[in-house]
Amino acid sequence: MYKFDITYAQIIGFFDELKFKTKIDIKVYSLGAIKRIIGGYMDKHDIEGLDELIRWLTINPGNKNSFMKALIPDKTEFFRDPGVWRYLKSELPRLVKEKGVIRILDLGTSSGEDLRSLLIVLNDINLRDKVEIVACEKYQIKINELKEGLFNGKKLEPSINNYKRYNEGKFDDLIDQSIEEDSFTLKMDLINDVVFKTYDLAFERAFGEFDIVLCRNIMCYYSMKKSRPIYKTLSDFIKKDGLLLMGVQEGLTNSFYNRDFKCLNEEYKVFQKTR
Amino acid sequence: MVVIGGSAGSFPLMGTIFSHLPKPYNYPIIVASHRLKHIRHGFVEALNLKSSLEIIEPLDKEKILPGKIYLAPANYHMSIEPGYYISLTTEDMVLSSRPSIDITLSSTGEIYGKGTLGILLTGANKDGAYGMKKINDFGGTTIVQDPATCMVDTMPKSAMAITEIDHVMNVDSIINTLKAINR
Repeated sequence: MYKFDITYAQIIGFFDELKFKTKIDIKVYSLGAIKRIIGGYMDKHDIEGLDELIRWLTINPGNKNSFMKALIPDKTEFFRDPGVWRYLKSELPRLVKEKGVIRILDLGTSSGEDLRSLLIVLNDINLRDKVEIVACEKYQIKINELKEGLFNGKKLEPSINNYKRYNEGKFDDLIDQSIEEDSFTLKMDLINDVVFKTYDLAFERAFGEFDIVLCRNIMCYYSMKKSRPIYKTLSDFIKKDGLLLMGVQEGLTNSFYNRDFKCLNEEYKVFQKTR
Repeated sequence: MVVIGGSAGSFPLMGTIFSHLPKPYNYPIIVASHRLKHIRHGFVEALNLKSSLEIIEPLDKEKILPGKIYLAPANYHMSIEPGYYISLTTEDMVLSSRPSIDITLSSTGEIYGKGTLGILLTGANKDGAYGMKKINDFGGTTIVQDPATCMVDTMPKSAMAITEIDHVMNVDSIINTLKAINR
């Protein structure tokens, strides 16, 4: 699959050296995922071994920055799992009616497709001014990139299909037609009022309480061992009766905090904090 | 541990294979198959109708148990982690596929080593070939569906081109092998 195959044993041995020489801590990640992410990065930069990777990362800050960005996998597409967004579209008006203004946290914003899908939903139901949104990512360089709003052209086709399943709409209508080759931007960019924050879910405490927390396909990148304390942080972020949205193949069964939540929608993995 | 990959034409064969497996079955079975990523329902339900063993699309970090069949969910890569549990992730497609058969096969081979039986069925691209090579490298046993019996033979032929495959079999022989290892 990659020019240089890395084994589980090699990657475990690599953790400490990487942290010692670059201060990048990857011990928190799921081993399979980090092995593939590093394998892909080494392929892209013609790096032929883990020792050479260490040298590459210490040559200049630009290499280290590009590596750190690579450690954060992109969101795959807009409106991934369209039913989730239909669910939000139907539930948000009720929540806003109950609470007046609601606060939403997007954890692990990455390339920003979930965040922008949420903003499009809010725009559709004319509730943007009733929702405060905080979007978090680990590194400022990644936040700068996602603010630019330039999306990989590979994401276009699945996004078109997803959007059609979300509201029978044409995703093409949302796209700026003056797209560059192999990439696209959206016509309306709604991120101006979003608060962006550098935040590392694996190492920092919760910084506030929110009515809805989006943490979709984020926990799956953490190791079994590391994910347990992170669930505590996740729980701390959510107000009583607030909602947690995870990836559709994620769950709380590995968490000691699952007793604090009830599942409102099994298919879309929507959980409500009950205490 | 049994791990099965397949693409074009493999769905009915998987149904046939699972319908012949005895219950209880002593090993877990991991399955990666190319599928439409926006269709989340129907695939596992249809296979379950034929199988006496329970077939599930696991959640991330689900523990692997004998006698269960774990089918890679749509739009997720599925790998096996040290500690014998399932890992599901959403990073880039591999050979235009998510789930990637290579990812599932190679990680299973690495974790279960010589205790791995890797089976690659009919399919239209070379996904799975690398995975079969890794199963071989880690000491496991490899079987490909006889290309002459495949709807599309690219997948087994690609595996045969890059690694030494232990057995080339038709589906009836694959079923008999899976029954035999359960004794």
